Amino acid sequence: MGKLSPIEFEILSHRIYSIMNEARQGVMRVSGSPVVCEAGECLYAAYTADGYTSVTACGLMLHTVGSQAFIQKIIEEESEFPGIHDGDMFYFNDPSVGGIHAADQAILMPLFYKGELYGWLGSLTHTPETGAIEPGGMPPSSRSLVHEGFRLQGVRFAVNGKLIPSVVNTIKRAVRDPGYVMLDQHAKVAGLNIGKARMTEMVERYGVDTVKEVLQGMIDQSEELARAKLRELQDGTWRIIMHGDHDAVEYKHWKVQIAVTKKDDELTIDFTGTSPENTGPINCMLPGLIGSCFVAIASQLFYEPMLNYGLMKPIKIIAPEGSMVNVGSLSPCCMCPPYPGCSISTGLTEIFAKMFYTRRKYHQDINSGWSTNMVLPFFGGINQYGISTGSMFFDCFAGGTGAGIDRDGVNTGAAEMNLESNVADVETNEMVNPMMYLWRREAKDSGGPGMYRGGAGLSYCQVAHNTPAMVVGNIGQGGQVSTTPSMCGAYPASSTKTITARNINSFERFAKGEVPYSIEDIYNMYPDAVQEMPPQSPSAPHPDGSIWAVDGQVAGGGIGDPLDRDPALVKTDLIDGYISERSGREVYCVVLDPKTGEVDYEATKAARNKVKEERKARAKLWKEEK
Amino acid sequence: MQIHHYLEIDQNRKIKCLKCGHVLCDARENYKDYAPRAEKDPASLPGIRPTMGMHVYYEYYCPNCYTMLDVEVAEKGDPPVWDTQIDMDNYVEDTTEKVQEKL
Repeated sequence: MGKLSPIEFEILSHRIYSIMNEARQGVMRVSGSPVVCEAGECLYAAYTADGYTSVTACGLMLHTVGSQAFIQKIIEEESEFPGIHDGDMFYFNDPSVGGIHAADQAILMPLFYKGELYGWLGSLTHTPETGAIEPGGMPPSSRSLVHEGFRLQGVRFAVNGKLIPSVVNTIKRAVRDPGYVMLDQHAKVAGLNIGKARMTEMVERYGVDTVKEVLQGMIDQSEELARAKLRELQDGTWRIIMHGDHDAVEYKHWKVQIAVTKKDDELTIDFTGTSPENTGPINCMLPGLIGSCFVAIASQLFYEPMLNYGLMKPIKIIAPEGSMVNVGSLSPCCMCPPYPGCSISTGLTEIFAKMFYTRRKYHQDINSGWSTNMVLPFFGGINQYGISTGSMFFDCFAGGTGAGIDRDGVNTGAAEMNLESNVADVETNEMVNPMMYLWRREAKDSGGPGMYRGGAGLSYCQVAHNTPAMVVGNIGQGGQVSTTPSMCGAYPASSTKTITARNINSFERFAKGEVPYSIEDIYNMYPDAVQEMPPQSPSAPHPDGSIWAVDGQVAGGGIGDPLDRDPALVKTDLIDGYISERSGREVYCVVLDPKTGEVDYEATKAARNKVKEERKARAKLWKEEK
Repeated sequence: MQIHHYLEIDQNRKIKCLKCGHVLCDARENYKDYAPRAEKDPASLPGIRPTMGMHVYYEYYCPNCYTMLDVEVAEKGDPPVWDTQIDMDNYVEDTTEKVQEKL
């Protein structure tokens, strides 16, 4: 640990962590974008002088490791000419170098003290617009990285702490929503200035060598703790196959195949067997794959140490080139964070959970799969203030979490990729976007049914409001394939459904009190206009009054046979609206007394035994199947 | 050593059902080779709405008590996934104690 005592190291490392969180809050308070200031999709981190992630503010984990590649590229390419100087800031958003997709845009700043480079600060936000071929930064129509908007390669964004006007103008004129996009950049600059001021105070008080020692020590400590935890767990190999149903061109089955081998204090994650690159943007480049792995590594396997590069040092990733988890440098990949990113992190979550079964001390850390079945409608056009706009709706961050060994998943709890995620209030979304909500609620029959069920997902409906021109499209998976698996005998979480009804007289119907409250209502009210939207749908005109609705998304996986669920919990779920009567009767096989509504335990036992007899009658060993 | 919600490796290095005590197989084997399975149409469940038959569920049961051990999302005809393959050459008994959740 060098010259510092463990106590000094603990105090100073916590100080840097506090600085990172203060600076991240600064970014979130300046940005006006709901995805940053409400949903918290914002990374803030400190890096060593040679560009390794050391201290990360809580929240978004997807970019913790990927963002360090930006800095290393800047060091490699800019050090000699034109040089890296105090007050410089660099702008990066190329997913082939670091980060995940073009919408994730980072500003990086070197930290100097009396001419010595002693570290870096980085701030990254999911920026709502990239100037791609469709609005919102994640175009399903993309067939190449060049379709996904502007990509800056470490362009110098500031000199002597002042923004360079030509670069600012290049970004502003490349996007549909320059207001929000530039507000995001100013927010990151504000956060970097906060961080720099605090780090300078620290260096002046404790000395530059001490701060460098702490930055490197944090990485070493995380690696040491990660390896120690791996040594505690049983050696072995665990496997899972994750499925998807749409490649943004058409319905098409794809799979991510994962095998994790743990031996002593090292872990190998092997994606051999994964589907080849998709034609549409349901792919990830290597940095996106590493970031998606890191989500589960940091949130499930090694949640105890500081989230930094040290957690990745015991880990080797095998990703066949040309597979959908390791595509070429110009391949489309804008959907990486949800797909296949969430499939990767959810698959690993279940694998780590099964590793935890081997040691009782980690049983409380077992989580079934989090919400992979994510859907994000996106939009563009002219908003209610007459301004050009484009973004997407991040309600999907209210994801149901996976069940544990003795508890249900948290209903609409959080997105695994961003454990500090929130969803914007409906009023906030309505205030900044040209639409209104007709409903937003927890979805019935969505959490994976099991002895402990997955956390419920989300259902919501929006209507285009006060806009002269609007297009809406859809980003998701899971309409045809169950994308969120469960564990150990529980059924997968719900599939998703997205519908749209355009060119309808909805406001006239609302004025008469005819307001739909479910997708079935929309089908009944507008039978000729309703269309099902595939999980990946290019943007299409949605004139004022058009309606779109999403159901059954972002639900968590369960654990254990549904027949083992306490009947009293099934009754409670029925009363609370988390499951339907049919689910209670057919999946959990709980019989309620028709007169009292109370559980009939004898009849329930008989119904469950009958199901087990039916299982016995129809099951056979797979090798005996024809 | 427990390896699953319903399965453990017993003192004879066999995989055993924790609910009924039935021994499925040696710990070096895939328990799913010894667990009868049945196909289920996902659309038969509430909340699941597929219409194109892109996948099926394979339900695996304990061959004695018929507790459901796993539900695989799979393409029809897929062999079982060997989801838990313990390295028996480096087998270390679990001597840890369960940590109670502090609420």
